Amino acid sequence: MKRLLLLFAFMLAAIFGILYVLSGSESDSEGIILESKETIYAGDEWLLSLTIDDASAGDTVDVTLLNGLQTFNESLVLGTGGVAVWKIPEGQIIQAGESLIIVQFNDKVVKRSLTIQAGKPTEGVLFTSVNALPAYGEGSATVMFLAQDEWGNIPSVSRPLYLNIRYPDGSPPQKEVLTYHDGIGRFYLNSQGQSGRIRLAVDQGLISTDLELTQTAGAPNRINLAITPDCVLNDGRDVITLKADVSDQNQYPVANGTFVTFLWSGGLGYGRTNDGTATLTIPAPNEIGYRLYRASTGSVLSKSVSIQVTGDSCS
Amino acid sequence: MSRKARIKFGIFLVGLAMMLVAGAVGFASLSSFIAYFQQGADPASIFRGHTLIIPQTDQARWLPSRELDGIEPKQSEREAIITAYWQAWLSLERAYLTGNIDDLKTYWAGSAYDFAVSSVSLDTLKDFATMDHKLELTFYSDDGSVIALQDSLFSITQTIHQTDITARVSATVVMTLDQGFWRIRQITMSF
Repeated sequence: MKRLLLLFAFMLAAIFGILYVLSGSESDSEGIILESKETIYAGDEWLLSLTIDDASAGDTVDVTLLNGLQTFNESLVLGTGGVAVWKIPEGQIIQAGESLIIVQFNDKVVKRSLTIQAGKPTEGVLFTSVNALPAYGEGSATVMFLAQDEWGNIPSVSRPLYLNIRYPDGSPPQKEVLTYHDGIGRFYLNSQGQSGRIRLAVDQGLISTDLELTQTAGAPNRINLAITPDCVLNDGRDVITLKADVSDQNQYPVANGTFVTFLWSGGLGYGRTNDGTATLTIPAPNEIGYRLYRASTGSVLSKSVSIQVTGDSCS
Repeated sequence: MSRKARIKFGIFLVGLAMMLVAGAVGFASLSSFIAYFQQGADPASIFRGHTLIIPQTDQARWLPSRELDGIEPKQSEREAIITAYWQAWLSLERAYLTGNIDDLKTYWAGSAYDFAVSSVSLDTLKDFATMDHKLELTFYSDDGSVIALQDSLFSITQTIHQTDITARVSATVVMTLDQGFWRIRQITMSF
């Protein structure tokens, strides 16, 4: 018995629910009946039919649609039976959100909402909180993505948006999901690998946009200088190679192209780093004894390395 | 002194007084005219944007925001944002009243600017006012250049068909800091 009663109550509630929903497609207040779609896409054409019970042909009714910042309004002349149709052509109701329809006839006012859905994203802009970040995982940046539909609305994003990332270390491209809410897509990016360019792109559907970020190594902090060979005969037929490994404070190589000066008594030479190493090959000295070499970049100076020049033989 | 001579003397005195006044005004105007061309722009003017007039709480105020992903804006940054946001609505109010849209680009950008400009019609100038903006910050980028906010149930009053209509509106807003100015870049309104 209880089950039957519960079933009956449930059915009754369902019937009332259905009636309530159906009644939502028409709005009837004090004899003003509105009929229109309740949801359209931005840019769609929209038709409103209205019937006013106690009006007669020739009466006017003021209709207004508040759509975002736009306001459409018109005075419609009612036809036979107090009927009028308001048509707004496509391409005019373009602002997404809940719009408000207001119908005024004499002292009666009826309000009703119209949902304007944004379209799919057709345009997007990628930008980041920084233009350059420290390399080797030492830096991070917020990558942001602003999208809009063809009318400029914050679009409805039903599928995940992906950010393609290509780091300068030659690793395979990564595909990360952009967290998208409140109209902004975002991804917190960490640097990876050596200095160079990080290429970012969103290439999905109608959107194709890209951006480059620069990964930079830290400033030179230490130079390890090596010399080969460390002993030569004084016949003037040898060459020596000075190799300077320049690293930042985290012992990571500095940016490619860092200028290094090699110094020795009576001379100097220059080199630029590639993967943190600058080399200089020069003729060996031919005066017997020891000669010291150093390397510097900015305010950083290496320890001295020496070469022995002998007239006998190098052991 | 004859009557004729007295009248002549009276006219002379009135004329003299008028000449003195006109001379003083002319001299002052000439001085400021010369001074105007002798001075350059006020160097400090390059640092000035729109005036930072923080709106009253019944005009616009911040609500406590949920915990943000990034950093929290400082109080001064919140003040700059809410001022720009309020000024954006005031600029729209002026544009609807006068039909002059020159001011809009100071406070609106991107698609929101297009929306704002297209909503101004010279044929239907109108009274328009907003009040009671309640802002909740939902995103603040770590470089302080992009925000998203929710403006809940503020009121818009406008005159349509000679009737004042007030509606409650909520808005999802994205603002960006462009060349030192916070501007509304995207907006979705729900009545």
